[in-house]
Amino acid sequence: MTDVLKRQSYIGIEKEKVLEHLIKIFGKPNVTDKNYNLIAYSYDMTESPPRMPDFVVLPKKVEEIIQLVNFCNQYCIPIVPYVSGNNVGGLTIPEEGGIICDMGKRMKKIVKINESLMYIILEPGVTFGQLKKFLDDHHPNLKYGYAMAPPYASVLANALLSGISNLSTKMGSMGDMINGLEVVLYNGELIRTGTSFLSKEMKDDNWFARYPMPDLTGLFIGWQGTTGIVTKGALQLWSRKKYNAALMGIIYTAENCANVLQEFGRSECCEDVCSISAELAKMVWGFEKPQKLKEEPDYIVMVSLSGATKELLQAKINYLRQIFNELKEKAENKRMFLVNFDTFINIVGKEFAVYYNIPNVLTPLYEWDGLTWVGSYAHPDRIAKLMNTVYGLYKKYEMGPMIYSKSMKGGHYSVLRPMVRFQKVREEEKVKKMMHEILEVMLEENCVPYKAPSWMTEIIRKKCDPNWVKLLERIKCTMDPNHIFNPGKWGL
Amino acid sequence: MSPNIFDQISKEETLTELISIFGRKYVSKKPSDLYPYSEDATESDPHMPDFVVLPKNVEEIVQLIKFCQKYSIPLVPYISGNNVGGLTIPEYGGIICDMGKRMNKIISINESLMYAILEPGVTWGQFKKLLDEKYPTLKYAYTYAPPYASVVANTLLSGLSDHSCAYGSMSEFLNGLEAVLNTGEVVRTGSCFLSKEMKEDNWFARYPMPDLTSLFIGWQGMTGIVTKAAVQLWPKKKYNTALAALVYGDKTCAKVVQELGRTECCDDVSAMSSTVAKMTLGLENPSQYEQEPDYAVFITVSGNTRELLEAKVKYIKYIFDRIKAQEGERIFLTNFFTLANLLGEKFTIYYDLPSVMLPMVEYSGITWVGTYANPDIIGPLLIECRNVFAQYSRAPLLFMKSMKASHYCVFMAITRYKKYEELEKIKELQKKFLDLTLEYDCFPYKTPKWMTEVIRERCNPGWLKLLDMIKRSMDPKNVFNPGKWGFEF
Repeated sequence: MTDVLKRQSYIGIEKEKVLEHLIKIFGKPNVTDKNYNLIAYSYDMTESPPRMPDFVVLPKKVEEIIQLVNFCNQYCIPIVPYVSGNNVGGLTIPEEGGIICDMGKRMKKIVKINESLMYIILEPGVTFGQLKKFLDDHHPNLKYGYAMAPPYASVLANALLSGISNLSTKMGSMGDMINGLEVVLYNGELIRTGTSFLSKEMKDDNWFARYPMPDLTGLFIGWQGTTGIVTKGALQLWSRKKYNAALMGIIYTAENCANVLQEFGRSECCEDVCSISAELAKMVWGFEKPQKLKEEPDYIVMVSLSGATKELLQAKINYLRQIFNELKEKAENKRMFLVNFDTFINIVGKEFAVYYNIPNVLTPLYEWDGLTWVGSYAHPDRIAKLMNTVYGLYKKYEMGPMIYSKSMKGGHYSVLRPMVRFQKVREEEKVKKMMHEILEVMLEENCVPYKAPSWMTEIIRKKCDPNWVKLLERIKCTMDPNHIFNPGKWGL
Repeated sequence: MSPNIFDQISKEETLTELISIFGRKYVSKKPSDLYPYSEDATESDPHMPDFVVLPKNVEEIVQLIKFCQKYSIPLVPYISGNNVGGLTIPEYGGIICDMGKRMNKIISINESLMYAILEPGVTWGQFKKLLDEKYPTLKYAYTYAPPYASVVANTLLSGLSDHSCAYGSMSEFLNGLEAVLNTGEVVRTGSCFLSKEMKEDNWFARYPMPDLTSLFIGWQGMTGIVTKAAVQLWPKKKYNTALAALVYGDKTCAKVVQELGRTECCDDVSAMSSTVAKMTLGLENPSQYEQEPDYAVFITVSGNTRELLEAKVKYIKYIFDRIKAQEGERIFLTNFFTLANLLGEKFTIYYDLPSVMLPMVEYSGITWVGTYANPDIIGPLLIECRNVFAQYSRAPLLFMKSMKASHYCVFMAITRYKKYEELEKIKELQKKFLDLTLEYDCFPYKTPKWMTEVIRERCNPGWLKLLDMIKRSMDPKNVFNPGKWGFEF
């Protein structure tokens, strides 16, 4: 059941007056306080406890958000920025009620693309599907790093939350793809970070870099909307190569899988190298509770690469094969095979191509009402150990092991994501316990959760450098003295 | 008139306190010791510090900061003073905290996760030597700075390197920092935040928690004193080569740099006007003759296999030929070492980094307007800067580099000069370059005080307010490097 809100937000002003004011800013059709509208914003697919908002507003432009922020700051009413709610971390659940500022419906313009300088300016509501279609149709020489998220998820939210993409093995976290941001601060001030700061009138054609001035962009990366409302982002695009290929590793043992991820990542030949456990792979064929059979491989590794010329692509493939063979030579369990992805698809069925053709809806992930994960940035060295330990926990809780991993930024770090799909009402308590146990194991191995839900950040705050927490709080107080932006996240 | 910074405690008492923290040997107030810290090779106005201290460890810096905060005494972090922006000149006097002499430990290298933890005083030369000798499979990216300049300062100031075309600004190489705050608290940013005590083995990423590392990047030491940094290393490739192009025409040169950068085949693509190239060969006042090329472009390429290296070189040549056909200009691509053999060994300093470019530092003055720039406008900008150099009867020393696969580039107009004879003229020249580059939407890096004053006038006022908010939050008494970015004491 959805809980009632804890915060007394309407001391200075009555709720009815708030509604009137919101209607004045956004117009009647774009404001609601009806429970049947609000309930959809009160929860997500994860185990995060639900909370009802009091209002939802659908802004169209920045000026409306400025008015909203000024109003909320005056009366200390929480504002929660929302785009599509697909973060799998309960990050837009309004912990203390207040107003959901849903930018996913009417703030979805692709504002400008600079083909030569390879960046694009987006409003928060622009989705991966929309961006991909736009680039494919109008700028076929350019691409973005697409996430293994549904096409209706927000591009900008993914970047702000240090999400991952199918260019992450090459380029790293999506946080590093940001040239700059436009943000409404708590005092209603509209600012731009990155090189666009260099003009009074905020020009769109000079947003080509994040540095070298004092880095104010970082004030909004990883902060989960607690420091201001981001209204535009300038994001880097990359040239799309003429020749592309995808390989697939069929791997026995977590150790072999982790070695392939790390060494392929370090080869600097791949745009993306990720792995999925056999059970996760089988899920796409529609098994309700996929089980790995005795002789089946433990992990599937998917590799995508490209080259401006056929020779470049072939040279990369040859080098990857060489690395793979060397790893096989050294491996205790030599059952590991590298094949062409297309060949594999032809054998096992087209459903499997969803892992390559992203953004895409991995339907089986969403066909249950519950989905959650402990997604974390992790040590490549510890991935094998973690895979094995986490696998054991899945078995303990009688859940199908759905383990995803990715090599990031040339193998400098990894992402490890044990996922759980579950039936919310029936299995929630069990899943909560399991998530806690997985988190403990991962923190023990120095993993840092990303898109971390509130319950995780509470645990992290207790374990981490206390001075880091103090600095976090200091910056939060500076950026949001009345505590209106997404309160409750990161223990703030 | 400068404010009296010793209105809360006398200079004598300050000296006593500093000696109690650092020991007599590591504190000085003698003008002969202080003088080198009062100026650099640029046109920035000099100012004497009152004391210099040479810390050995973080605990001493904690005590120093607590003391300075208590009595509002300016504190300027210093390493080697090679920033070419007057960034460590103590605008209001106070204490220079020189970490270059005794805080220069390479604390650890994580070979598997490819990062190094460095104290601020670690130099390029020191770092390269250690990697070459002990970790031959790894490399860092090296700059055109002298081997005695600081690695950490370069990353904090968004410097560039010989891998900037592949990976971008050096700030993107940071996994995290240790910094002492105004309160004396020691904070760690990046993944190392995840434990109460500092574990050296978990400093592998900057994200995904709230990005507090950014509070110290580009801030010129105004938000705290950075005492350690975890920086990314990269695998050293087995096969390496370098190409050199001779290019006629400013716009063509800009195009060559931009297009080669976009191939994603190069570690580094930099261009310099032929006068810079000739300067390397020892000509005192190099000028360009009528038939000489306008620019030399350097390209470094590497590959894990010979096949990969060759495929990259082949593609670079293909792109180069395409530009040649389109532009109709005289441009030639050759092996760098062939050219170096023709021109003399001195020329290889552009490849063997870090190295001292003697001609750059043999005059008493060197300065530049170094900027992050829009690659599309470099052609016309080069032409205009050339004209400005001509107006002032100076050889055009121009430099540019493709950054992060040409998402942006770096542009520099460099001037070496005789400091005490030509200073006023150079100040005028620098102002002209600044106006011109700002007109072209370039943004100066390692920005001197006088430039930030001009920028404050032009830029988005909301951005300035946020800058002020953060500065006030991080350093309410304005003790850290006051005077920079318009934060007057």
